Amino acid sequence: MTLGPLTDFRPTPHFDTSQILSALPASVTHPIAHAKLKLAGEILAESSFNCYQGPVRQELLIITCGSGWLFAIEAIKLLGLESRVGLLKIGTTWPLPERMLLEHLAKTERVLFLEEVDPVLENNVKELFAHHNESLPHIDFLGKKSGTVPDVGELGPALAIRVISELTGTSLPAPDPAYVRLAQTEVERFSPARSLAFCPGCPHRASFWAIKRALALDGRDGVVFGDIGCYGLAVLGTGFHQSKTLHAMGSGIGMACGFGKLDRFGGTQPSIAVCGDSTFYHAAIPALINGLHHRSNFLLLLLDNSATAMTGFQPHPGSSVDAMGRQAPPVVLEDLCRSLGVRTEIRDPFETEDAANTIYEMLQQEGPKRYKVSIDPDKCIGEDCGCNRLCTRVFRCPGLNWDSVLKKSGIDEAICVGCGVCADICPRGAIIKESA
Amino acid sequence: MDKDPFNLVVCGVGGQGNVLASRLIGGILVEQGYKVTIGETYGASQRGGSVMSHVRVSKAQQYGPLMPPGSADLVVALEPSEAARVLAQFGNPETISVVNTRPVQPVDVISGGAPYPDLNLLLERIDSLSKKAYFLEATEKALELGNPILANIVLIGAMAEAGLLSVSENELARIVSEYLSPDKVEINLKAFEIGRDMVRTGT
Repeated sequence: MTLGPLTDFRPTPHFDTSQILSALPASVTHPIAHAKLKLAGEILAESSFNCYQGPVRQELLIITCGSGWLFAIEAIKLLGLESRVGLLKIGTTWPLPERMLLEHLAKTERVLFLEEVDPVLENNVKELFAHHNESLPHIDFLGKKSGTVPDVGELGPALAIRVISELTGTSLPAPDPAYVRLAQTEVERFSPARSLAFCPGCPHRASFWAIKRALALDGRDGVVFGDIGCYGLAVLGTGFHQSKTLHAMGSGIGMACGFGKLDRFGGTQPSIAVCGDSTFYHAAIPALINGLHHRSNFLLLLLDNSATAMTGFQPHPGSSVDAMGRQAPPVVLEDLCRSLGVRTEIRDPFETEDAANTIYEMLQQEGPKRYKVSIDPDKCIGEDCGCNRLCTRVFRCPGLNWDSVLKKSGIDEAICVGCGVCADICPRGAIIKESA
Repeated sequence: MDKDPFNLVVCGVGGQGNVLASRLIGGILVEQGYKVTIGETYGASQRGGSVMSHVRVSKAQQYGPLMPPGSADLVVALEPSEAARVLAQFGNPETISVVNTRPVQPVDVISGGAPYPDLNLLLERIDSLSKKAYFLEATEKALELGNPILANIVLIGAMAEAGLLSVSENELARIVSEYLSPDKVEINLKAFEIGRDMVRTGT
């Protein structure tokens, strides 16, 4: 193949405003999407990404995609099965190249599926077979559903060789038994386990040490909700097993927010989220705003190492350079948090004692609370008070009401959300707030 | 490289320049007309875990990213216990090993959970699992150059001198400048030359 010069193709950005790009309304776009899928199926049916190699009639047809194809090629070659086993590689797994599949299914009685993770090809080819079973022979379908291929773990050449050799009654030449014996003896003695660990000097080690100390001082069995980044390793020994959850990016604050609402059901464990700077910008800010808005009681620890460390120190919106290495205006973490009206402190984790003490102190701070609010009818003297009905006439919260018969204020339990502010403004202390 | 496919494993501990070494070797071989596939297990690359790259080299076809067990022709190890780990799975009586002898203790060892093997016994084991094993104090030499990460290039130099990889200084300089900034070329060439010397003089 000879490559010519690249053409200098520089389109001018332009949005054709006579068009609307929207998935709505579904009544219009859904049929269009289906028509496109049908057309795609017709185009992909002829695609050279789908190919067959092997004999005209085979005793085993392997239907595969992705790396399974490469592993199968190698296994067939090593086992010398080129004239017995056919290999159908599906490059366009959706929509399936149905005509091609049906042609090959008509000529086989045994099919093996080799594909990574979920049995997608396996399920869809079997569904195709079900639609055409009257015109097709009986076929044994072997794969993850039949237990022929393990339904967990990765595919690899060793697995492909094992499965194909079992199905065809072939085997590789046995390896030198003396070598295998020596190689397999005392493997762990000569290659001790190598657990993952924070890098030497990593601030996360110091941060989790401070967290561990603060939680011990606090003594209420606080729960740390982890997130995605190097500090995710804090579920392991390198972070002293401090993080107790590790899910999708941004999930830590969301979970801490939910857990921080459980005090009204009698929960007493402090709720703590840890989140790295890059993850915070990428996926956690909405969860923080949501937590503040819903008055959840949790402590967020932003472990700011000024980089996307886990994937190779890429810049992020807090960096003073952009993804192209140009100067860029950084969004300052602490300014952003303070702008939301939340108490924000900055500590250096390498000053471990100071950091631990601050975490401890912030854990003692009462979070936003919900109260059970009531009015003591003996204390509220209504119009006679001289407060000019401060709560109902001036403060005017809809959670309050005015009993025109008794001429006293009251709480409408159906409407009051328990913020407790009315209790603070009543000059006679007639409004009582109790922790809910 | 008369065997086809030629199967090479580069292994070590995260942060030792393992992935870069496999990329450089792969890049050199692609320039020489080989079809090269690299499969990397580098999820823990920065954090002290075991790291292994499979480099599969062929004139005939593009091979899969992982080699079958027992099929390594060459193991290049930046850490000796990692060489033993890889040989146990991918070694065979014909495997040749190029090994940096400097141990990196796992945290499991540091924390007292497991002992690190006696170095002499470990090297003996690597030797007995290899048709031929080259042992080099690559980290020590790299430290003399001012940066321990250059041990990976010292090993590439050793591979070249041992006839395991055909690569000239110019080829190396060009591929290094593709992956690293130009000011790094000179120090990498020095490391390459040191690796060659170590095999030539048997030190």
